[in-house]
Amino acid sequence: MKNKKVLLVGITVAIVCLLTTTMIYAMFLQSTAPKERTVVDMAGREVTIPYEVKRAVVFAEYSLVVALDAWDCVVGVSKYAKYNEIMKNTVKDIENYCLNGSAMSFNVEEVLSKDPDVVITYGGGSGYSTPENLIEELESAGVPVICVNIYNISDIYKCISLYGEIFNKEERAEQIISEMQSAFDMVKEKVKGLPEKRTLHTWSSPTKVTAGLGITHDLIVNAGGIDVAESLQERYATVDIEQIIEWDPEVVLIWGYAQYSPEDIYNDTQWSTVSAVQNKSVYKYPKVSTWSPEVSVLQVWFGVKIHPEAFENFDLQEYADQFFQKIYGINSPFEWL
Amino acid sequence: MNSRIRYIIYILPVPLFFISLTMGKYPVNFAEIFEDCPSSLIVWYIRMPRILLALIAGASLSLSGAVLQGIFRNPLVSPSILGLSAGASFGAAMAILFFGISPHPLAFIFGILAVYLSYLIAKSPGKATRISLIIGGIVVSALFSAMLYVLKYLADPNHLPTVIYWLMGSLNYTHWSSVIVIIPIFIICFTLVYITRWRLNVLSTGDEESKVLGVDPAKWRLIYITLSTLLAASVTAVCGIIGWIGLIVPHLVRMAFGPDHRYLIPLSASAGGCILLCADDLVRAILPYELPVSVLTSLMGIPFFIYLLRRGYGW
Repeated sequence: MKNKKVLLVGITVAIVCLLTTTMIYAMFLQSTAPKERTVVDMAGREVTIPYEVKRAVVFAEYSLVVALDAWDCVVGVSKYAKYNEIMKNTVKDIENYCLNGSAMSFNVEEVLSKDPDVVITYGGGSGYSTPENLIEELESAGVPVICVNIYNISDIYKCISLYGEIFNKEERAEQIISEMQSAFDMVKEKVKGLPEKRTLHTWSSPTKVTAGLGITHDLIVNAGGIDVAESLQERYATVDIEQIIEWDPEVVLIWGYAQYSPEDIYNDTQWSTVSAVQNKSVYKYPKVSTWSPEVSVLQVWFGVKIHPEAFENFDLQEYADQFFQKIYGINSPFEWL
Repeated sequence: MNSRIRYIIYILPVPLFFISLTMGKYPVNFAEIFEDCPSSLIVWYIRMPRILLALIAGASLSLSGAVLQGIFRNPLVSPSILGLSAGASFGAAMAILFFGISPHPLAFIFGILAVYLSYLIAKSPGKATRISLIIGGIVVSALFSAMLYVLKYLADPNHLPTVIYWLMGSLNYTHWSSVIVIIPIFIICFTLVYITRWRLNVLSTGDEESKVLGVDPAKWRLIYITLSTLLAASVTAVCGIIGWIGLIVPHLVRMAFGPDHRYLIPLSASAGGCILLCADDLVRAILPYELPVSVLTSLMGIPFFIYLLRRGYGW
């Protein structure tokens, strides 16, 4: 009887001790748990951000946050997000998240009113970048600012990894990158050994071309093309139509947002001697962003248009749907013709 | 001496036209220009319309500047001072951003509308005077510039490059279709200004003097503003905004040949055409890729204007 009592007291004491230790240990853990961490952004700046980002304002590449499945950590996006097909199709009431500003210019007070714990925007000195003084103002108000700069495809991968780090979704970021890479690898594999075709990518006007710098140059080269405008070391260059006739591209690819169509080029006498017009190889792609994961679908499209013979019996729309399902959980909102 | 130089300037566009035809990125074989080959396409469909447009656009802008400077008796006046450029920019941006159509017609309409608005504002106190017209122009320019900014703010950023491309005046990618539209406007306006050009001499002496000499200043000012607006608006609608030609060329001619509008008008037209053609040849055939020709005309204009200032150039 007495032994039983002792045993009971012993067990109780043991349990109480165990519980207390666990509690003390837990408290100890919590007190030493890091509240902050440091990431290096794409401008090479070391930025201290909260350990867990919960209220991000995103001016750059917001669709990546959707792809990373971290949208619940976003409190505001650029006003332009409401025009983005992916955002419209994946985020309910995207308008409610849109601020009145964009990366180029925003009201600091409006951003601060969202009480953000981090702001992600475009750095660098181009037309779409956030001016230095706005970044400084946010930082002096205690909001860490992450800058993103994208010049080529490897920058997109870096950007995805960075976002993975910020939102603690490293594993998902790796998945996205490998999905993208498999698309690039597939295209390179299919066009391997085929004769390179002279290709021109035209931008906001038929004589304004994307030149040797930038993502479309990479897309052309990967798809087994020769970028005829390669020698111009610019992102964009206006050239004389005579220059295009001299380059004589075999394939002409048109920027998705351009306000002219392949028909406009086919019907234009000035283009009539260009090979791409004579063999009806002028194509325009959908309004996709070239700075987001879907650039890999665009890479496949470049492959299909530059070397159709390598993609016989290949259903691009089906491929795009599968890709978008894997990345965004929706079918492709764009029609890939 | 002076009269010989005058005749040289009158015929200068002809040799320049043929020299320009031989310039360009593509090595044209002139033996083949009547055959079906790239050389003939380039000469007939690419170089010829662009060269003609450069001549006519330069002549129109310069003529329009010469007329406006004459009637306002103000050396700083050019077509854009009455709000034309700002109005045309707004019209073009609206066409591109909100209707997704070709910018030319709306640029033309809004260019003229802006000048008309300036005129209405100037007339509101009673009579449109020189000063009230210029103030009206400044007000209307400010209005359309602000509205252009609002359009840009509201627009999808992916459509902005098309607008910016248009705003930077250029003769790149000229087609016969635009030349054919602009030729009759130029011929009609030029002829009307040319046959009445002595009235500009009267108007430039001042309102009171004009009345004494039997030229109604308000009526003729309106006629000349209409003609010069039509000239400048048609060019702006086709080429975008090409600055400084309308301002500099009449000055140059006036410095060299004096302020008599009987010579100033045809000389300005001819010299304006030649200068724009030479500037465009430079960007088209010599630079590795094209700068908008408006950049070049502005760069040429600045040192010239400083020179005018230093010289204490009087009216």
